[in-house]
Amino acid sequence: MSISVTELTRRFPGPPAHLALDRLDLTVEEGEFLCLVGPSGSGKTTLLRILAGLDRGFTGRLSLPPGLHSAIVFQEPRLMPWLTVLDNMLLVAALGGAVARERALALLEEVDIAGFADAYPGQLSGGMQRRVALARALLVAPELLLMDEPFVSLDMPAANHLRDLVTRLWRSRRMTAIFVTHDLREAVVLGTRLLFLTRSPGRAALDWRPDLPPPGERGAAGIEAAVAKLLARHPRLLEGMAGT
Amino acid sequence: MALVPGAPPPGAPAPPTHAPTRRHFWLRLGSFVLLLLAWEAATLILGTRVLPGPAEVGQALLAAFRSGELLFNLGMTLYRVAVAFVLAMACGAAIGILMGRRPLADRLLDAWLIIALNLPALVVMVLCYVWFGLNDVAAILAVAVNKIPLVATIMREEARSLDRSLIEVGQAFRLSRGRIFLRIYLPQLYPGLFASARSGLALIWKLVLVVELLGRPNGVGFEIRTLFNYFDIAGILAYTVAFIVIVLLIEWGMLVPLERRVTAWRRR
Repeated sequence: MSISVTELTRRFPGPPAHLALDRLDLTVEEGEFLCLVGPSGSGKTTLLRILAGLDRGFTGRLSLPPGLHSAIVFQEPRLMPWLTVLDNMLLVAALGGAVARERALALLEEVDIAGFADAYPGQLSGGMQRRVALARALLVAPELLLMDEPFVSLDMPAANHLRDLVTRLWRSRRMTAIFVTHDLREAVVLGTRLLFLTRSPGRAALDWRPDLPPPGERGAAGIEAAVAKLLARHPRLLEGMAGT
Repeated sequence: MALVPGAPPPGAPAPPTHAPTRRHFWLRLGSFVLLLLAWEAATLILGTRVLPGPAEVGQALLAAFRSGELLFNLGMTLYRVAVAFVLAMACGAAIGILMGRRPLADRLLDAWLIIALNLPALVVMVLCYVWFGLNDVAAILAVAVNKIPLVATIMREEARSLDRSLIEVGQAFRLSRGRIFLRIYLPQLYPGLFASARSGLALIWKLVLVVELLGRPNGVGFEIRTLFNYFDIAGILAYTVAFIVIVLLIEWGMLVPLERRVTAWRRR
């Protein structure tokens, strides 16, 4: 049950016209944690939006398994400010009533914000809002979880905590994950596979599977060594990328 | 990170305090008493023939109430206000949202909207009576047509400022169009809907009085015309006071609590 794109091209008419993705070929196998890495303008978010069904203006072929359950965590939490935390989650729930409520409360507990179900998003910190957004995505029991730089602008401890959480949830649920980042270290911490995209137009520059234990079992030294080795082998790989 | 339910987290904005206070109540009451005193003073200066005082108007009000005419005429006017209000809000909101969300509709209807906004209310009323006859349909239609462009203008601006990123959440999670409209679109439109409703109510009841004065055999507007023929200023003021009280009751008893309820999250 793989996901694939063939000759995927996305051109924004502008003005100014902009070629975000140029004939991209990609196959993501079931259960993979794919990190899309690239500088701004490399089409990472565009690819994610296409996979989420939010952008249909592309050419090429997109092949998703029929009836695939997917969910997305945006760069911003995008919670409805007029709904409580619990209602924000129930908004996207396919099931209704007590079952959904029970599952939503269990997920809030899993992301460490049990007790805030009746709070409004405006009462939560940025990190807590992101956890709600993650729990909301998990509520639909996705087979494919799309994440668009969900930890950007968080302080380091909060981001590390959420990375651990995402790894734990991905492992326990055995879902496919596609994670957009411009942070190489973050990609090596999380990904079973890293796809590097070139600056506009986005094309595949390098498809790399780190020779490391599974995410969640990687030590800091192994991660640093993998990053150093990659950069030594591909010194121009990260040109134009911030945060690396 | 240790989190305590109920306690605001670090970095979370402090909740604003908009709760009505006892001080506000006394200020409002004081303002009302001041108005009565000013009225009484004006009566002393101008004389009761030109401006009857609060007591005389109160007596006229009581007499009209006892005769049953007050309640009947108020009921007829309220019925016309309610129907025209619902019609104007529904049509105006639909047109405004369409114009705010669809550039083609906006370009097509923009000139119409400007014309409708500048059409004199009296012309619409007279034309409706000429075209549809002296009946309630014409009266209500005339009032609604006058109000629709104003509602559409407010709702167009509100629809233009909708947060698309929130609507994308609904699309990404494959919510039905109805659910997206009710749970994501509509709550963002509440401020515009309430602004339209409040300004609409104030305008509509004034317009209803004019259409009644022009061409209906009952209602507060009709009664005011009759009282005008007898130069009964106390009666005119009695009906005016009665209707203002009802409009204020609708405002404070329905619109304000409803608005407070749907915007409760802003005060948290």
